[in-house]
Amino acid sequence: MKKLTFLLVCMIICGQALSQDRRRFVVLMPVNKQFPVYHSPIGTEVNYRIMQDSIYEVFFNAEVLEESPLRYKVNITLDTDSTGVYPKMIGWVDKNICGVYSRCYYDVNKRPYIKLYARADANADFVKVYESGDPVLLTAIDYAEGRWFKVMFYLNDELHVGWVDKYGDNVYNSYEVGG
Amino acid sequence: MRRLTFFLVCMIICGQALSQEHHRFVVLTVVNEEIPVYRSPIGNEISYRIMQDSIHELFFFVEILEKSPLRYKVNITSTEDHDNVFPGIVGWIDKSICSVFSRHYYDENNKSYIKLFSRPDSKSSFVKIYASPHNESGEWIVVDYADDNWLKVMFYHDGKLYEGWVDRYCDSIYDSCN
Repeated sequence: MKKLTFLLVCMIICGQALSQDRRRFVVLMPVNKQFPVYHSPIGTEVNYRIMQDSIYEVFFNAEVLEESPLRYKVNITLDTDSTGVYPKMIGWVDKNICGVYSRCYYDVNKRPYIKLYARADANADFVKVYESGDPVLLTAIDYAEGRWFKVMFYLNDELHVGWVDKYGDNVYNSYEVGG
Repeated sequence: MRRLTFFLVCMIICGQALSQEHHRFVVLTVVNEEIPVYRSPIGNEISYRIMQDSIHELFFFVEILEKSPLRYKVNITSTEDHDNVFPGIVGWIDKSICSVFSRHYYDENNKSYIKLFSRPDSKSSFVKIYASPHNESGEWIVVDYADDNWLKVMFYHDGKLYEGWVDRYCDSIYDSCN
């Protein structure tokens, strides 16, 4: 009986750990401009054409479900639809329109910087890319387990590529959808 | 004197080897529709807008100069410009519109198949994808490249998505190498 109880407890813990698998969101960069949601990871067949609208404040959350080299499979929901009334749109979007906002670390002089790692590992080498403190929209080109996103961005006319573990993943950069 | 001659010969051989570096070309999948040529590996700033025209038979040769995760830096020249009169257009284009055409291997029964390697290495594992009557020749999207003539490609074949490395392909818009 004790063994059975132990086994059941282990199963519940494992189940909980799996169900807490991290959800990943990206910011869809085009605003006031239509963009296609494709049917597949390659090809030109378009499932939906959607537009975020800054005047009427229509924005979308895009949860990343899967990736391929050039596109993400995303679940797109209306940002204001907290009750899940509207049907979601699932399809593939080009990685070059997907981003996350930079979140800064601060050095001893309280100067903000982006910590850009060489690998998706907190123990990996990193460079400090100093910025003004205003969030920078980083193109999200890949992801890895945990919180990691591989990003590309220009800052001070220089192209940077690397991994970040601190970012904002919604269009308002006000909270983290992925938690 | 002998040493000097040997040194010179070595330098000449090395120079020749370097000058024979492999040129990589891709075919633009978009025809009769404008294609943006961007200024940089990310971002929306467009340097040129070009169009291939099937009615007037205007097509481009596209040589890859450099790569980034989502775009290639390319040198674009007209296929009709044999005398190099027109200046080349240099800029970044999305990888999603860069392709090559399939080329086949043949088995002992003379049946054609595509050899899709797991790594850019002819000794790596591979899958054989046999051509079907309704899918004889395909267009493959080029998502990456490696040394020599290896290309990483993605394509649909009989409704299934494949991704892997190939060392045999055709990089001419006219598909004249089959």
